[in-house]
Amino acid sequence: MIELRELCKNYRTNKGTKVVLDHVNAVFPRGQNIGVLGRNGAGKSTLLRLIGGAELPTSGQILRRASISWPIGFSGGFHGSLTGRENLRFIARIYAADIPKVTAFVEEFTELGEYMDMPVNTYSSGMKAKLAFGLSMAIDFDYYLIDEVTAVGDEGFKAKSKAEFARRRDHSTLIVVSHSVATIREYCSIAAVLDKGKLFMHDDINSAIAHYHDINRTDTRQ
Amino acid sequence: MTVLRDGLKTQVRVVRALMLRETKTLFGKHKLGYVWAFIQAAFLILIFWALRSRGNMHPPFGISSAVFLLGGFIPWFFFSEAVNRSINAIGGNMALLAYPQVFPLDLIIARTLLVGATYFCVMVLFLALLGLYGYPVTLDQPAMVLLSLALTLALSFGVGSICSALNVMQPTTARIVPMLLRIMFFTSGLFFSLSELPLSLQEILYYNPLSHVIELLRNGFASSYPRSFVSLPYVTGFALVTLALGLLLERYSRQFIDRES
Repeated sequence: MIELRELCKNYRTNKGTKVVLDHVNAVFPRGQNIGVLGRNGAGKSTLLRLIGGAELPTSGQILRRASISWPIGFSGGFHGSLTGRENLRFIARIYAADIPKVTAFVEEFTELGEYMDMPVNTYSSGMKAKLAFGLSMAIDFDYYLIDEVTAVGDEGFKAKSKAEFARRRDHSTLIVVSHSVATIREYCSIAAVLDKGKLFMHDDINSAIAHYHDINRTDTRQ
Repeated sequence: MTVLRDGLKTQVRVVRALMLRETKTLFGKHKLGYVWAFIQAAFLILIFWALRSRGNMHPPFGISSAVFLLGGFIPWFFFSEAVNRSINAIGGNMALLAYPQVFPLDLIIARTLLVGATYFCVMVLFLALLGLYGYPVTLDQPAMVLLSLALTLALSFGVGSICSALNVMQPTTARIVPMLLRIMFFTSGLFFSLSELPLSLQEILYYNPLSHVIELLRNGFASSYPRSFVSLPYVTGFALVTLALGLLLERYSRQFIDRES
């Protein structure tokens, strides 16, 4: 379970303080894929980074009683001059994962072949994302964080990723942030709406979508 | 207690992983980088060795020239390289902070330990090579050698974490620190003994903690070389104060780390 308690996040900009999250309270239970709808700049990515622990809250707490992945497809932690295999070892080590097992899974899943032994800065961005995605699947988290469904790689890989998520439905929970209703419908069973620093939880995905359409409409009218 | 123990276990794991990763990147892409660490130190030692023997300036207290200079340059390289690399430890590895178990401090610990291990090996290799070529090498008090290196490690880590935190808050730090290190190169008694200087100068220069660890290392190599100048309470105190200040500043500076870029 993941719980947010009075979570606040401010950013200092040269135009003063910008409030991104304003006393957010929420519970993300395991077993139900949850979507977070929000318009561009609503703070969806920030929320995901806070949940993942990549960023620290200004105030409030995030309770994590589960293992949580980095945002899917995040490859910024790779060192360009190290090979795919060396980067893989580093990530496996910091997550206390079994290196041979992780290697075997990633090799099979990503089909990177001989690229595994080439420096990551020779990779295309799709290949990097594939490696990162394969790694997060190999480490087997309780929660997977997905930003805008980073549809990595070619169609074949996309299908493979989707099948992998479907296969794990029983023991892995997805948290998906997106501004696209279609994406949320595709992956999630419950949803929340992020608007003006507040997070509104809905038990029913349709009511979340209605709420989201509502704020979009109000905004166009103004 | 279990929370503390699990946290510590994770930290050890992360630091170890970082060290293994940096082994391949810190001294350049190739393994030759480590050879360069040796060549750099050996080159300076040989130059000052040649200069001292040309001027007939034998080091005092019957210590041999090569060991005398080694005692000066090893702590110097250890300290200055560790501090220089700590300054950019966070900026150069920002993306790794996205993994929640990696803390800024781990990056500094890993780099400092790796630099220390490198120069420890350089020292051993240098002594071994001297011995192999029949040069009189002495290692009278290994415990003092280890104590000196341990104090150098503490100083490097303390000063390194202070500089790193200051650099997060004010990036001009990265320009000022090398200037100060340059001054330390000439005033810490790397290629001379502070006892060769006028008393009025000695009095000031002994506030520099690096001179103490250098004199201690020389005493460890040759017990005829006195350690009467070395004040263990002063160096230990200095190290502890910088460590405490470094940890405090690191904690305070976290809010300034701009993780987006």
